[in-house]
Amino acid sequence: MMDQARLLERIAQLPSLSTSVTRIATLLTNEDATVADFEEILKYDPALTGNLLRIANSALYSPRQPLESVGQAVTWLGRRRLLDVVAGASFQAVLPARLPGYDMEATAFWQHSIAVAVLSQTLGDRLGLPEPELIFPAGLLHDLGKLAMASFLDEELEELLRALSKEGADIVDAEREAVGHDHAEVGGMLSEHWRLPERVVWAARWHHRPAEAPEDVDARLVGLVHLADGLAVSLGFGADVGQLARRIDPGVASALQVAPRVLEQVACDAVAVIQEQGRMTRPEDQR
Amino acid sequence: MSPQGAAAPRQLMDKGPRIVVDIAGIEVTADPAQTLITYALGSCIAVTLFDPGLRLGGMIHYMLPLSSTSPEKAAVKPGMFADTGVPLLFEKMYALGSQKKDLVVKVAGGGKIYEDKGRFDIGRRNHTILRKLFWKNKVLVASEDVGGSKSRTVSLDVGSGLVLVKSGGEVREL
Repeated sequence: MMDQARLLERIAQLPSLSTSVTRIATLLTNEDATVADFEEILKYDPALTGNLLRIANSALYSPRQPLESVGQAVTWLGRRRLLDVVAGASFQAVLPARLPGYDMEATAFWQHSIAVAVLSQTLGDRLGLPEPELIFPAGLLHDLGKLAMASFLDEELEELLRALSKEGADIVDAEREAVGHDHAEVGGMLSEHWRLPERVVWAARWHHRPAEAPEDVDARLVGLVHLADGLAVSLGFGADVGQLARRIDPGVASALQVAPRVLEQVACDAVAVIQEQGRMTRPEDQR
Repeated sequence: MSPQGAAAPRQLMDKGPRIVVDIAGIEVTADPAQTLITYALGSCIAVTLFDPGLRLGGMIHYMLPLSSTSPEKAAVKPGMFADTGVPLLFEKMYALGSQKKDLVVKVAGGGKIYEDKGRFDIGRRNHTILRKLFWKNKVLVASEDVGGSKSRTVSLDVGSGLVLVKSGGEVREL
């Protein structure tokens, strides 16, 4: 078991996710914001700008000529895609090579994150959810609690595997059994600590137990990420040590009015995008 | 399985030239030096075909049961669905000279996530459709490892026909 003090210490030790994500998200709500305003936020963030330029220059966004400055990247990406790339770039800046305890390499963790982001967005588009610009980042960052949990779980790996081997086991229950906390709870703490946008915090905190979320949380967004996460794992995008051991809340799909056929169609539409995005935007040291 | 027993197949799985079968992919080969391999099957299913006489191998990694879900996707990527992909895999083997009666058929995957209402049970639906297809076409399955909340990696050594399934760090022969 780890106590609260060790957990908080671990959270404080982790390299911080850039505050640029939140600042860009806020600026995007201002219709009058100019390229220079976005540039102003990003140019003092060297850890982020390298990744930002690399992703923006990838075949995924295929600029007509190489983008050499943050200003050029902002102009090329436009408002619709900027936050997706900024979230990805800042996430990659804090991604370790490996997540011990979860038995995951950075590439698999990235692939899973991209899968949940793309599936959330595809499903969100179909359902016509409000504030679509925050769905991709919320999906992408939903598992960041694993960054803080990995080393603790590694210390209690036998306990974790034992908990997972029980019939009907679920990764969240198994984590709690092994170390007393789970990655959703820790993801909520971590994303608040990093002052991420509220919707990102909600997805990180409630994506495994959407029914337990308090009333002020957007149940549709949280439910969406919950389904996208289940679908990503089911399709084999980045299964962790828990393999397929997770529970889907049957109430969520009903509440969102998602029929099984819709889920399958979303999977069809998203799979090539997930593969392409995962490959083209892979973290730099994992190529 | 004994520790030694587990170590030997794992070495086989990881060595030599390989053709990776992506999700929705179909691959066949007449090169006995090759291993066909597919990673991280969740609810998806891999079917492997082996012709011992001609030493030919084939594999599909399909994702969903029926192409009616998205006929447009099925037209470009038939390997995405059981009903379009599996017949195509057999045809590709026939094109290399195989006959149905000579093919050793193995099946793995079709895992599931817990959900009471079965909305997420893509794995079971994937398996049901495959069984219907095989029943209708009189195809016998030599062995299978299907279901459960497992993630599986599957390989077929085209030289020997050995099919290995790796799950949760354990490797076993199918």
